[in-house]
Amino acid sequence: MSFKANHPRCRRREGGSIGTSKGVWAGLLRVAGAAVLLILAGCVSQAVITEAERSAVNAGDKAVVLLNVQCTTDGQPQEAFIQPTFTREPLFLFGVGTFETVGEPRIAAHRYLSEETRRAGWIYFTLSPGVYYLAVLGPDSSVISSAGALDSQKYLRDAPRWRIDVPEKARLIYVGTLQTAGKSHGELLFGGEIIRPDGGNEVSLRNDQRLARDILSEHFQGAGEMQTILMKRWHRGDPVIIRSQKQDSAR
Amino acid sequence: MNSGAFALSFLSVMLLLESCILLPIPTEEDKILAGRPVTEAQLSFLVPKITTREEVVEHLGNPDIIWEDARVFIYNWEMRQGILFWAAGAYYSGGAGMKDITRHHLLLIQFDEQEKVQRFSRTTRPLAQSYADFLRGWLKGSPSQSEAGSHRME
Repeated sequence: MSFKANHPRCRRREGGSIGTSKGVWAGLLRVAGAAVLLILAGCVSQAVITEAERSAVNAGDKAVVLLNVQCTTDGQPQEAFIQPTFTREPLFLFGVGTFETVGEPRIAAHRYLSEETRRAGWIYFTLSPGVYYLAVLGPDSSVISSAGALDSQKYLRDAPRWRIDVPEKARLIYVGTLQTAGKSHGELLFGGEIIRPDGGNEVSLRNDQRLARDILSEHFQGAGEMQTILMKRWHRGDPVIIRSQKQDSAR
Repeated sequence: MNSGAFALSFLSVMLLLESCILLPIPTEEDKILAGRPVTEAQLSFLVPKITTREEVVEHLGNPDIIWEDARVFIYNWEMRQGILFWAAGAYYSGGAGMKDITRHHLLLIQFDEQEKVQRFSRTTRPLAQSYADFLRGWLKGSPSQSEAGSHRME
């Protein structure tokens, strides 16, 4: 096999890496990863809580962790969880760090309670008791393709992160309302808007517990009282707190 | 055919069929990839049953990870233990590069209910083992864990 390093399509990069086939493979993997994530994000909009999950929640083994995300683009209200189309991809993705990942976030599917609550920015996760770290990616119109890239773990690691505490026997938890801001950077070839996070605005957390209580009581009648446990901002350099899962408690 | 010729032939066939080669080169652990190393000398202040949690933070800083229910502090750092050269080719083009091979170092300090040091280990985590499994094994005091400078309260 001969390797032509002086082929016109070859170029030298820093760190000793040469050639274009690495870039081609990286591109193909990025597209494949984006496709998988797009399918995942698309399926999420139809996902409803299953009977098994509902039983786990009623038994206190898992909790419904409700989060609201509010978004603006150039100061104007923007629906956070848009329905993906050919020209529009989701604006948000989430990563969740657990005991198993020692706090490092991994892409996690979020769910909606209904079409109406989706449009209002409400999502939920079902989590067992423990400590979790939620990484929030977005608002970004290329969040899917970025998360599907080879260096997606770095993308997740650098995203803003919050700590979520799920106590034992909790069933319904509201963790806060995130206020995010994006900036428009023109349009794509087929009309989709290019949105990137507005770096000048720190993501803040608001408490809308009354709204959250109304939503959870409507969808989880008889599951008991909602607890408001606002998630705490985690910054790089802060210790990562982990707690064993119930089945392998250290005590 | 002797083993050297066989290995060369095997590698050549592999290269022809898969167009890919990986070559790990071990190096000295002289490059810090992440975190801040903790040396054995820095652990001289740790005395089981005597050193307190506050003293640990005072000497070593905040831990990277706190395993809350197990009362364990974990300090992480990563050193380069080798370089992996790779090359792949097909038809008229190809690529090559190199990547650091990491050794994961940890200092684990477990405290008792009075927040005094119960035991501590300066150790490495095998690449093939997940972090969570390693922690569970360490907590159980698994003899399969290789530990350099393990100290336990008698």
